[in-house]
Amino acid sequence: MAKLCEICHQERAALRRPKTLQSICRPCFYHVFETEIHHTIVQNRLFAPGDRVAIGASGGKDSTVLAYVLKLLNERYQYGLDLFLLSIDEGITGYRDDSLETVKRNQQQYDLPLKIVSYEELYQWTMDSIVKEVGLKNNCTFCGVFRRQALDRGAMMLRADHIVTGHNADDIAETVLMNILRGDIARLQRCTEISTPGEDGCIPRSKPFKYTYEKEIVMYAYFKKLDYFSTECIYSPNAYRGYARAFLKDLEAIRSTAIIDIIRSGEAFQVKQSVKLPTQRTCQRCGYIASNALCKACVLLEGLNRGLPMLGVNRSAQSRADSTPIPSTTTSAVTQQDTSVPTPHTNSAATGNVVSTTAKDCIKTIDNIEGKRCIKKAKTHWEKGKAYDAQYKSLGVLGIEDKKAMKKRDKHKKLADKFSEKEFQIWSKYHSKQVKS
Amino acid sequence: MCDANNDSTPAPVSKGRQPKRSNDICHKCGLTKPAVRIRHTYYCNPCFKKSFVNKFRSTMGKALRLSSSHKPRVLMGYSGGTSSRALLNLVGQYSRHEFVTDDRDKFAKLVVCHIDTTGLFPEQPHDTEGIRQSVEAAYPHVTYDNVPLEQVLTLQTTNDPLTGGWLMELSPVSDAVAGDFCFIPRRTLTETQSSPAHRLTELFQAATKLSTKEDLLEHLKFQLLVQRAIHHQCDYIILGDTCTRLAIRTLANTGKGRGFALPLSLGGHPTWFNGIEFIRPLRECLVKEAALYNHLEQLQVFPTPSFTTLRPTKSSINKLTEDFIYGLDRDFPSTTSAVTRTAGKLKASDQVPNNAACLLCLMPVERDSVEWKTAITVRTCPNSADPAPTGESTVTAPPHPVEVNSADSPLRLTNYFCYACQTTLSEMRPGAQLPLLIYNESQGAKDPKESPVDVGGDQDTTMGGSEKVEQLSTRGRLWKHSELYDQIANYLLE
Repeated sequence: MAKLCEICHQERAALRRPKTLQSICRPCFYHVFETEIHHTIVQNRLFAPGDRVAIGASGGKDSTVLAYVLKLLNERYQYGLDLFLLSIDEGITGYRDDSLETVKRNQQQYDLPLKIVSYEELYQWTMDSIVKEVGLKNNCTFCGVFRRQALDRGAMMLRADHIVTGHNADDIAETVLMNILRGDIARLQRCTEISTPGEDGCIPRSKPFKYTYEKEIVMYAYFKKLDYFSTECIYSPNAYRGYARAFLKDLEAIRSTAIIDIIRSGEAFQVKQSVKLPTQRTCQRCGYIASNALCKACVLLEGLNRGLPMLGVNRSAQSRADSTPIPSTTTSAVTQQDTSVPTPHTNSAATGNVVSTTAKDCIKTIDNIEGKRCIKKAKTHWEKGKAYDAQYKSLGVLGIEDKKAMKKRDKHKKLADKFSEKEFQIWSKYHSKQVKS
Repeated sequence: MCDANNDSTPAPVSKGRQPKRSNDICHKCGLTKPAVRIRHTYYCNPCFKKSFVNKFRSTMGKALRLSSSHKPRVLMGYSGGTSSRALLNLVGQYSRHEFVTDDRDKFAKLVVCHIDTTGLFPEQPHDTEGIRQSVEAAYPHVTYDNVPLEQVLTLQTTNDPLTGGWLMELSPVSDAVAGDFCFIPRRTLTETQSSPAHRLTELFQAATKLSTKEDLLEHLKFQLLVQRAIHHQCDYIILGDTCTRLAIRTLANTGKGRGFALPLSLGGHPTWFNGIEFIRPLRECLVKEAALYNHLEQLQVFPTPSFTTLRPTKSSINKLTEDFIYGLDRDFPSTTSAVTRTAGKLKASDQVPNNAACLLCLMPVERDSVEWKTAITVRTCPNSADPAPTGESTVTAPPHPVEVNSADSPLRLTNYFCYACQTTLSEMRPGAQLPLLIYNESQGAKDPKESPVDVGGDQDTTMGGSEKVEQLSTRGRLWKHSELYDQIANYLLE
């Protein structure tokens, strides 16, 4: 009753390919899986002979299979590549420390050199401490933004020419959907590219699994009995991305080619010339590519270090700050103080003092949000002070002097004044003329 | 002590910042209590109606550029559903000047076209007569055109013997996996004896999945609409697509691989459909607004029959996307407009060829769809020679002289279908008779790639996929080996 493989017509079929719905045997599946990746690499000319290639390894199934397949193809087709494993330690207890063990095991199995870069040494923040600060809701933003940069820095330390990551077709399709839903037109155009060009000292990075289904990667790992770590991050996935992911899984259940179809759609998207796209430039603090004067990592770090963790994450806070703009007539008022905020970026010292008007704008936005925060705090303290004052007074009628309430009232009053004053300072920084008059 | 001092201190107020606007009063007129909230704005009823009508009028004005000398002929698609009912009322009012004069009409001709799908959905209630009356009673100056969907099978739009008046039967020698589709042309009138309605039902029965049926219905309706517009010599087609509907279509079409034609199917292109331009005046309104308008104007809405009525969410791509967008819009109220705005920023691809319209959906055909598919999939045996990654072998067929009338030679028409319609075809059973139309008359005969090639022998096709809805779960936290097995179990045969 066994069905024969539809490719070789000899062996018993072992699986049905999600991509084509063909029933095929194991050897044919290995062949098809590996050759497709080989074709992707060759057609897109991802590597040149002699390249030093860093494989972004998390210990999960995608990167494990990627390391395995790249090593295999490198030997089979003589790419002539020097392969390295590059891992990022985000500092998530109970998740990353375990998965790094898997990476170390992989290193021994595949005999590849391994480099681990940690958030702590790069940014002086671990994900655990960030989550303590920002909570569970938006922490993926931090993790993602920091990881992107950390990978580059790690690759620079390895003197690599190329970074490959284990992003599969499902991930790319999901990103296409996400960018449509969020209205991110610039990324929508970029996200289906198989590799980012390596310009301005950036290391090119590519996704050899662009056309490979997640399911087939799982099958491959399952059949080859590869050693990989399979827990999801303990900090729950980003809520909005979760929607896109669930939707994609449902789509795939209805029509299994949907994933490839979405990538096909994504590749066809072209943006009208009249639409303004953010231009890529370099961050004025750390020199990394950015779409604003400061890169996202710098803005997020600035927020963390100033105690405004939602800075750069919360879109509504940003837009509200923009809707009440501070007039730009008095830009001279920006003090040196703003630029000398200690930043843990290692190479920021050289470029940190050079601030153009655009970097000022960034700082202005940050100040704007901080000002709002101050006035909010001042209000709450003022209200608390008022409540204690009422308590003090009501007891005073009965002839009792409530010293405790008095002390608290004065304390809150002082704090309210302090925050009021701070807000005023920030405000007057941009309104020097009005302050004088 | 400092009692007096504390009392006199006003609450800390930020300097130089505007107070928030109040939600207790209509944001538009600032006079009455608000009754409606649309996204982040609060309206009273009259203000809502006014803004709704204004949105419609501004889109119409920009698109039509009316003047006393320029009076276009206009066809409006009307299903009787929520948004098209609102649109009918708006267009009906808009089409005549308010003051009674000799020359009151703004349009040379206004056709309201209703496509009757009763034949497809016999069990669902459909009030054809009610829909007719809703138009004719209220808007006497309108020409009402009721077209049964079957008519799409008997169209004869061109005199070209290759295309007009032919049905194309999907031949069993087509290979869906390899993306190779062959057709046998059948004369519409002579060869088939059964009634058009019967043949229409047969066509839809040949579609193996609900998504395919829905796609097919959408394309046939669209073809018919364009054909009616040509018949009435109209310059414009007005459709009642709301922002919500467009967002759903954007996402669903992306999921079907129609990204190539997305700008065209959302915005329209003045030269693509024989010079017929599409206007969607409700593109900035939510479907909720249209429903509210109907309610305020006391307009009767008729239910539109569909394949997925009362079906579960995961029964088809369109249904899934619809539920997804509605659900997301509840939590993130700007989603729909964000999606439509994003789609509006896309332009037709540079590679859009000038005259190659897909035979099924009338959208442009990408040149590289077959090559692209072959390049990313390997289907050959490890022992056989490694095929060139470009997959040229499958595309280049030796050009033969076209010989159409010689009976049953199958036509290899793969290159006349867009990427997504090839997927649709792969989910059709062989023997399905499709109406394939070419509106650009020059195109059919000229293309040199057209080559009927005899494909004999291998009768074994792999299209037996039954209509099934797979349930896959990804909610697990820790993926054990056994769970990984469960994930891919559907695809494992051992």
